[in-house]
Amino acid sequence: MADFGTTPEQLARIAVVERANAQRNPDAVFHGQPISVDDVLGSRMIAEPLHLYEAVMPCAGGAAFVLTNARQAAAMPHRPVLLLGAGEKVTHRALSQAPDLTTTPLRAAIQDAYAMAGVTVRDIDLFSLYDCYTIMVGVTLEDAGLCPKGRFGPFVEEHDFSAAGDVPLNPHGGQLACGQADLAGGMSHIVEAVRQLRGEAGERQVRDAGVALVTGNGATLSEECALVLGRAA
Amino acid sequence: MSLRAPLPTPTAVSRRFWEAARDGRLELPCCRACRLTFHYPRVLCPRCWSQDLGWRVVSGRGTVATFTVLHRAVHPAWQSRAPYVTALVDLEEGPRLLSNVVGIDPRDARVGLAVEVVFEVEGEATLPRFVPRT
Repeated sequence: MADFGTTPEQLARIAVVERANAQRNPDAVFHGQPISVDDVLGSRMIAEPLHLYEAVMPCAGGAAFVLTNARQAAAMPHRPVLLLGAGEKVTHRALSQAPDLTTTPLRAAIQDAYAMAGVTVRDIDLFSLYDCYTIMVGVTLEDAGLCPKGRFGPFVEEHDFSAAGDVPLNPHGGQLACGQADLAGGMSHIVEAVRQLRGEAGERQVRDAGVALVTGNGATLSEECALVLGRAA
Repeated sequence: MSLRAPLPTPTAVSRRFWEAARDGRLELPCCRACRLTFHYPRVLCPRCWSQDLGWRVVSGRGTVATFTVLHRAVHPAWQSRAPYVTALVDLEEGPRLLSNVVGIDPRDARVGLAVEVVFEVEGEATLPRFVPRT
Protein backbone atom coordinates (compact mmCIF):
# COMPACT_ATOMS: atom_id res chain seq x y z
CA MET A 1 0.00 0.00 0.00
CA ALA A 2 2.89 2.32 0.80
CA ASP A 3 4.72 1.42 -2.43
CA PHE A 4 1.87 1.09 -4.91
CA GLY A 5 -1.17 2.92 -3.51
CA THR A 6 -3.28 -0.22 -3.13
CA THR A 7 -6.48 0.66 -1.25
CA PRO A 8 -8.38 -1.17 1.53
CA GLU A 9 -11.36 -1.34 -0.84
CA GLN A 10 -9.32 -3.16 -3.48
CA LEU A 11 -8.10 -5.72 -0.92
CA ALA A 12 -11.64 -6.14 0.42
CA ARG A 13 -12.95 -6.83 -3.08
CA ILE A 14 -10.95 -10.09 -3.15
CA ALA A 15 -12.90 -11.37 -0.14
CA VAL A 16 -16.15 -10.22 -1.77
CA VAL A 17 -15.62 -12.00 -5.10
CA GLU A 18 -14.55 -15.24 -3.43
CA ARG A 19 -17.60 -15.12 -1.15
CA ALA A 20 -19.78 -14.50 -4.21
CA ASN A 21 -18.29 -17.59 -5.90
CA ALA A 22 -19.03 -19.67 -2.78
CA GLN A 23 -22.75 -19.02 -3.24
CA ARG A 24 -22.57 -21.75 -5.90
CA ASN A 25 -20.87 -24.17 -3.50
CA PRO A 26 -23.24 -25.65 -0.89
CA ASP A 27 -20.23 -27.17 0.91
CA ALA A 28 -18.69 -23.76 1.68
CA VAL A 29 -18.83 -22.61 5.30
CA PHE A 30 -20.14 -19.23 4.08
CA HIS A 31 -22.65 -20.55 1.53
CA GLY A 32 -25.76 -18.41 1.85
CA GLN A 33 -23.80 -15.46 3.26
CA PRO A 34 -22.63 -13.10 0.51
CA ILE A 35 -20.82 -9.96 1.66
CA SER A 36 -20.09 -6.46 0.36
CA VAL A 37 -16.94 -4.33 0.43
CA ASP A 38 -18.58 -2.32 3.23
CA ASP A 39 -19.15 -5.54 5.21
CA VAL A 40 -15.46 -6.40 4.91
CA LEU A 41 -14.24 -2.94 5.87
CA GLY A 42 -16.78 -2.87 8.70
CA SER A 43 -15.58 -6.17 10.16
CA ARG A 44 -13.17 -6.11 13.09
CA MET A 45 -9.60 -5.00 12.34
CA ILE A 46 -7.20 -7.88 13.06
CA ALA A 47 -3.75 -6.89 11.79
CA GLU A 48 -3.71 -3.70 9.73
CA PRO A 49 -4.68 -3.52 6.93
CA LEU A 50 -6.44 -6.90 7.20
CA HIS A 51 -9.96 -7.14 8.63
CA LEU A 52 -11.67 -10.23 10.02
CA TYR A 53 -13.36 -11.10 6.70
CA GLU A 54 -9.98 -10.96 4.93
CA ALA A 55 -8.69 -13.91 6.96
CA VAL A 56 -9.70 -17.55 6.67
CA MET A 57 -12.13 -19.14 9.12
CA PRO A 58 -10.58 -22.22 10.76
CA CYS A 59 -12.84 -25.21 10.26
CA ALA A 60 -12.81 -29.01 10.34
CA GLY A 61 -12.44 -30.94 7.13
CA GLY A 62 -10.25 -33.05 4.94
CA ALA A 63 -9.14 -33.46 1.36
CA ALA A 64 -7.56 -36.23 -0.65
CA PHE A 65 -6.60 -37.15 -4.17
CA VAL A 66 -5.06 -40.20 -5.81
CA LEU A 67 -1.75 -39.70 -7.60
CA THR A 68 -0.66 -42.33 -10.09
CA ASN A 69 0.89 -42.62 -13.53
CA ALA A 70 -1.03 -41.89 -16.72
CA ARG A 71 -1.06 -45.56 -17.82
CA GLN A 72 -2.65 -46.78 -14.59
CA ALA A 73 -4.99 -43.79 -14.51
CA ALA A 74 -6.38 -44.77 -17.93
CA ALA A 75 -7.56 -48.08 -16.45
CA MET A 76 -9.33 -46.44 -13.50
CA PRO A 77 -13.03 -45.58 -13.37
CA HIS A 78 -12.62 -41.78 -13.12
CA ARG A 79 -11.50 -39.41 -15.79
CA PRO A 80 -7.89 -38.47 -14.93
CA VAL A 81 -6.36 -35.02 -14.70
CA LEU A 82 -2.75 -34.63 -15.81
CA LEU A 83 0.02 -33.02 -13.79
CA LEU A 84 1.70 -30.96 -16.51
CA GLY A 85 4.10 -28.86 -14.49
CA ALA A 86 5.28 -28.12 -10.97
CA GLY A 87 7.50 -25.60 -9.23
CA GLU A 88 8.64 -25.03 -5.67
CA LYS A 89 10.66 -22.27 -4.02
CA VAL A 90 11.71 -21.54 -0.44
CA THR A 91 13.48 -18.25 0.26
CA HIS A 92 13.41 -17.76 4.03
CA ARG A 93 11.71 -18.59 7.28
CA ALA A 94 12.00 -15.49 9.47
CA LEU A 95 10.07 -12.66 7.82
CA SER A 96 13.01 -10.31 8.37
CA GLN A 97 15.00 -12.44 5.91
CA ALA A 98 12.49 -12.18 3.06
CA PRO A 99 14.38 -11.03 -0.04
CA ASP A 100 11.42 -8.88 -1.15
CA LEU A 101 8.30 -7.80 0.74
CA THR A 102 6.02 -7.47 -2.30
CA THR A 103 7.16 -10.39 -4.47
CA THR A 104 6.87 -13.92 -3.12
CA PRO A 105 8.75 -17.13 -3.98
CA LEU A 106 5.64 -18.08 -5.97
CA ARG A 107 6.89 -15.91 -8.81
CA ALA A 108 9.74 -18.34 -9.47
CA ALA A 109 7.69 -21.44 -8.60
CA ILE A 110 4.93 -20.46 -11.04
CA GLN A 111 7.44 -19.68 -13.80
CA ASP A 112 8.98 -23.13 -13.32
CA ALA A 113 5.55 -24.77 -13.43
CA TYR A 114 4.58 -22.86 -16.60
CA ALA A 115 7.89 -23.78 -18.25
CA MET A 116 7.59 -27.48 -17.39
CA ALA A 117 4.04 -27.52 -18.75
CA GLY A 118 4.97 -25.49 -21.82
CA VAL A 119 2.27 -22.89 -21.14
CA THR A 120 2.03 -19.17 -20.39
CA VAL A 121 -0.44 -17.32 -18.21
CA ARG A 122 -2.63 -16.80 -21.29
CA ASP A 123 -3.22 -20.56 -21.48
CA ILE A 124 -4.63 -20.80 -17.95
CA ASP A 125 -8.42 -21.28 -17.86
CA LEU A 126 -8.77 -21.53 -14.08
CA PHE A 127 -6.83 -19.98 -11.19
CA SER A 128 -7.10 -22.06 -8.01
CA LEU A 129 -4.97 -19.84 -5.81
CA TYR A 130 -4.02 -20.24 -2.17
CA ASP A 131 -5.86 -17.56 -0.23
CA CYS A 132 -5.12 -17.51 3.50
CA TYR A 133 -5.62 -13.72 3.40
CA THR A 134 -6.76 -11.30 0.71
CA ILE A 135 -3.24 -9.95 0.28
CA MET A 136 -1.99 -13.46 -0.56
CA VAL A 137 -4.35 -13.56 -3.56
CA GLY A 138 -3.43 -10.05 -4.66
CA VAL A 139 0.29 -10.71 -4.69
CA THR A 140 -0.24 -14.09 -6.40
CA LEU A 141 -2.23 -12.45 -9.23
CA GLU A 142 0.90 -10.37 -9.86
CA ASP A 143 3.38 -13.22 -9.40
CA ALA A 144 1.34 -15.42 -11.79
CA GLY A 145 1.81 -12.79 -14.50
CA LEU A 146 -1.81 -11.63 -14.73
CA CYS A 147 -0.80 -8.02 -14.06
CA PRO A 148 2.40 -6.06 -13.40
CA LYS A 149 3.92 -5.81 -9.92
CA GLY A 150 1.95 -3.44 -7.73
CA ARG A 151 -1.13 -3.43 -9.98
CA PHE A 152 -3.40 -6.06 -8.45
CA GLY A 153 -5.57 -3.31 -6.97
CA PRO A 154 -6.81 -1.93 -10.29
CA PHE A 155 -6.81 -5.48 -11.70
CA VAL A 156 -9.36 -6.75 -9.17
CA GLU A 157 -11.58 -3.76 -9.92
CA GLU A 158 -11.52 -4.37 -13.67
CA HIS A 159 -12.07 -8.12 -13.97
CA ASP A 160 -14.77 -10.72 -13.36
CA PHE A 161 -13.54 -13.58 -11.15
CA SER A 162 -16.68 -15.74 -11.32
CA ALA A 163 -16.77 -19.13 -13.04
CA ALA A 164 -18.23 -17.36 -16.12
CA GLY A 165 -15.83 -14.42 -15.87
CA ASP A 166 -12.68 -13.52 -17.78
CA VAL A 167 -10.42 -14.62 -14.88
CA PRO A 168 -12.08 -17.57 -13.10
CA LEU A 169 -10.61 -17.51 -9.58
CA ASN A 170 -11.41 -20.09 -6.90
CA PRO A 171 -14.91 -20.93 -8.20
CA HIS A 172 -15.51 -22.95 -5.01
CA GLY A 173 -15.00 -19.80 -2.95
CA GLY A 174 -11.46 -20.58 -1.86
CA GLN A 175 -10.47 -20.93 1.74
CA LEU A 176 -11.72 -17.40 2.43
CA ALA A 177 -15.28 -18.62 1.87
CA CYS A 178 -15.02 -22.39 2.39
CA GLY A 179 -13.03 -22.15 5.63
CA GLN A 180 -9.50 -23.41 6.18
CA ALA A 181 -9.37 -27.02 7.31
CA ASP A 182 -5.84 -26.58 8.58
CA LEU A 183 -3.33 -28.34 6.30
CA ALA A 184 -6.15 -29.72 4.16
CA GLY A 185 -7.02 -26.13 3.26
CA GLY A 186 -4.30 -25.96 0.65
CA MET A 187 -5.36 -29.33 -0.76
CA SER A 188 -8.83 -27.92 -1.45
CA HIS A 189 -7.31 -25.89 -4.29
CA ILE A 190 -6.18 -29.11 -5.98
CA VAL A 191 -9.55 -30.76 -5.40
CA GLU A 192 -11.40 -27.84 -7.00
CA ALA A 193 -9.04 -27.76 -10.00
CA VAL A 194 -9.50 -31.51 -10.54
CA ARG A 195 -13.29 -31.23 -10.37
CA GLN A 196 -13.25 -28.33 -12.84
CA LEU A 197 -10.92 -30.09 -15.28
CA ARG A 198 -13.09 -33.20 -15.15
CA GLY A 199 -16.15 -31.11 -15.86
CA GLU A 200 -17.76 -32.18 -12.58
CA ALA A 201 -18.16 -28.77 -10.94
CA GLY A 202 -21.90 -28.48 -11.50
CA GLU A 203 -23.38 -24.98 -11.50
CA ARG A 204 -19.97 -23.42 -10.91
CA GLN A 205 -18.34 -25.19 -13.86
CA VAL A 206 -15.85 -23.07 -15.81
CA ARG A 207 -16.73 -23.69 -19.48
CA ASP A 208 -14.09 -25.60 -21.44
CA ALA A 209 -11.65 -25.58 -18.51
CA GLY A 210 -8.55 -27.24 -19.95
CA VAL A 211 -5.60 -25.94 -17.94
CA ALA A 212 -5.50 -24.84 -14.29
CA LEU A 213 -2.92 -23.13 -12.12
CA VAL A 214 -2.89 -24.24 -8.47
CA THR A 215 -0.77 -22.52 -5.83
CA GLY A 216 0.20 -23.29 -2.26
CA ASN A 217 1.84 -21.19 0.41
CA GLY A 218 3.31 -21.84 3.82
CA ALA A 219 4.94 -20.13 6.79
CA THR A 220 5.71 -16.44 6.17
CA LEU A 221 5.02 -16.06 2.42
CA SER A 222 8.22 -18.06 2.24
CA GLU A 223 7.61 -21.69 1.24
CA GLU A 224 5.52 -21.94 -1.88
CA CYS A 225 4.61 -24.28 -4.68
CA ALA A 226 2.72 -24.17 -7.96
CA LEU A 227 1.10 -26.83 -10.14
CA VAL A 228 -0.21 -26.72 -13.68
CA LEU A 229 -2.94 -29.31 -14.16
CA GLY A 230 -4.53 -30.24 -17.46
CA ARG A 231 -7.63 -32.02 -18.73
CA ALA A 232 -6.86 -35.47 -20.14
CA ALA A 233 -7.42 -35.75 -23.88
CA MET B 1 -6.95 -14.95 34.47
CA SER B 2 -3.27 -14.24 34.24
CA LEU B 3 -1.30 -15.52 31.31
CA ARG B 4 2.45 -15.52 31.10
CA ALA B 5 3.77 -13.73 28.05
CA PRO B 6 6.20 -15.88 26.10
CA LEU B 7 9.83 -14.78 26.39
CA PRO B 8 12.88 -15.56 24.30
CA THR B 9 14.83 -18.74 24.99
CA PRO B 10 18.53 -17.87 24.62
CA THR B 11 20.55 -20.58 22.91
CA ALA B 12 24.30 -21.09 22.63
CA VAL B 13 24.13 -19.14 19.36
CA SER B 14 21.91 -16.27 20.51
CA ARG B 15 22.88 -15.88 24.19
CA ARG B 16 25.27 -13.00 23.52
CA PHE B 17 22.50 -10.98 21.79
CA TRP B 18 20.21 -11.28 24.81
CA GLU B 19 22.95 -10.66 27.38
CA ALA B 20 24.05 -7.52 25.53
CA ALA B 21 20.44 -6.30 25.47
CA ARG B 22 20.26 -6.83 29.23
CA ASP B 23 23.30 -4.54 29.51
CA GLY B 24 21.74 -1.92 27.23
CA ARG B 25 23.69 -2.68 24.06
CA LEU B 26 22.43 -3.84 20.66
CA GLU B 27 25.08 -6.33 19.60
CA LEU B 28 24.86 -8.27 16.35
CA PRO B 29 26.93 -11.03 14.80
CA CYS B 30 29.40 -10.08 12.10
CA CYS B 31 31.53 -12.12 9.72
CA ARG B 32 35.30 -11.71 10.04
CA ALA B 33 35.79 -13.12 6.53
CA CYS B 34 33.45 -10.90 4.46
CA ARG B 35 32.65 -8.18 7.04
CA LEU B 36 28.88 -8.69 6.82
CA THR B 37 26.92 -7.65 9.90
CA PHE B 38 23.76 -9.76 10.14
CA HIS B 39 20.76 -10.74 12.22
CA TYR B 40 19.45 -13.20 13.42
CA PRO B 41 22.43 -14.95 15.07
CA ARG B 42 23.49 -18.23 13.47
CA VAL B 43 26.54 -20.46 13.14
CA LEU B 44 27.38 -19.54 9.53
CA CYS B 45 27.67 -16.23 7.72
CA PRO B 46 24.53 -16.11 5.53
CA ARG B 47 26.54 -14.50 2.70
CA CYS B 48 29.89 -16.36 2.52
CA TRP B 49 29.21 -19.31 4.85
CA SER B 50 32.31 -18.60 6.93
CA GLN B 51 32.26 -19.86 10.51
CA ASP B 52 34.72 -17.19 11.58
CA LEU B 53 32.18 -14.95 13.29
CA GLY B 54 32.39 -12.18 15.85
CA TRP B 55 30.09 -9.59 17.41
CA ARG B 56 29.84 -5.83 17.10
CA VAL B 57 27.89 -3.12 18.86
CA VAL B 58 25.62 -1.32 16.40
CA SER B 59 24.11 2.15 16.58
CA GLY B 60 20.53 1.08 17.25
CA ARG B 61 19.40 3.68 14.72
CA GLY B 62 17.23 2.66 11.82
CA THR B 63 14.08 3.20 9.80
CA VAL B 64 10.78 1.33 9.61
CA ALA B 65 10.78 -0.82 6.45
CA THR B 66 7.20 -1.97 6.97
CA PHE B 67 4.81 -2.48 9.87
CA THR B 68 1.42 -3.65 11.00
CA VAL B 69 -0.80 -2.57 13.86
CA LEU B 70 -2.02 -5.63 15.74
CA HIS B 71 -5.55 -5.23 17.08
CA ARG B 72 -5.78 -8.91 17.89
CA ALA B 73 -2.62 -9.92 19.72
CA VAL B 74 -0.63 -12.89 18.47
CA HIS B 75 -0.61 -14.26 22.05
CA PRO B 76 -3.46 -13.75 24.55
CA ALA B 77 -1.02 -12.41 27.15
CA TRP B 78 -0.33 -9.46 24.86
CA GLN B 79 -3.97 -8.57 24.18
CA SER B 80 -4.03 -5.86 26.85
CA ARG B 81 -1.29 -4.04 24.87
CA ALA B 82 -3.31 -3.95 21.64
CA PRO B 83 -3.35 -2.04 19.43
CA TYR B 84 0.43 -2.25 19.14
CA VAL B 85 2.95 -1.82 16.33
CA THR B 86 5.07 -4.70 15.02
CA ALA B 87 7.65 -3.57 12.49
CA LEU B 88 10.59 -4.60 10.38
CA VAL B 89 13.36 -2.12 11.20
CA ASP B 90 16.31 -1.56 8.85
CA LEU B 91 19.35 -0.68 10.94
CA GLU B 92 21.89 1.82 9.63
CA GLU B 93 24.43 -1.03 9.60
CA GLY B 94 22.24 -3.05 7.21
CA PRO B 95 20.48 -5.86 9.09
CA ARG B 96 16.70 -5.99 9.31
CA LEU B 97 15.09 -6.81 12.68
CA LEU B 98 11.54 -7.75 13.62
CA SER B 99 10.53 -5.77 16.69
CA ASN B 100 7.93 -3.39 18.10
CA VAL B 101 7.73 0.37 17.78
CA VAL B 102 6.63 1.73 21.16
CA GLY B 103 6.16 5.21 22.60
CA ILE B 104 3.99 6.14 19.64
CA ASP B 105 0.30 6.40 18.84
CA PRO B 106 -0.12 3.42 16.46
CA ARG B 107 -1.96 5.75 14.07
CA ASP B 108 1.31 7.66 13.63
CA ALA B 109 3.32 4.63 12.47
CA ARG B 110 4.74 5.13 8.97
CA VAL B 111 7.02 3.37 6.52
CA GLY B 112 10.33 5.23 6.63
CA LEU B 113 9.87 6.44 10.23
CA ALA B 114 13.26 7.10 11.85
CA VAL B 115 13.62 5.05 15.04
CA GLU B 116 16.17 4.13 17.66
CA VAL B 117 16.48 1.20 20.01
CA VAL B 118 15.30 1.12 23.61
CA PHE B 119 15.61 -1.79 26.00
CA GLU B 120 12.52 -2.96 27.86
CA VAL B 121 12.63 -5.39 30.76
CA GLU B 122 10.02 -8.15 30.64
CA GLY B 123 10.28 -10.83 33.30
CA GLU B 124 13.76 -12.32 33.10
CA ALA B 125 14.39 -10.95 29.60
CA THR B 126 15.33 -7.59 28.15
CA LEU B 127 13.86 -6.94 24.72
CA PRO B 128 15.20 -4.47 22.15
CA ARG B 129 12.32 -2.34 20.91
CA PHE B 130 12.24 0.93 18.99
CA VAL B 131 10.95 4.45 19.58
CA PRO B 132 10.66 7.35 17.13
CA ARG B 133 13.97 9.19 16.80
CA THR B 134 13.79 12.89 17.59
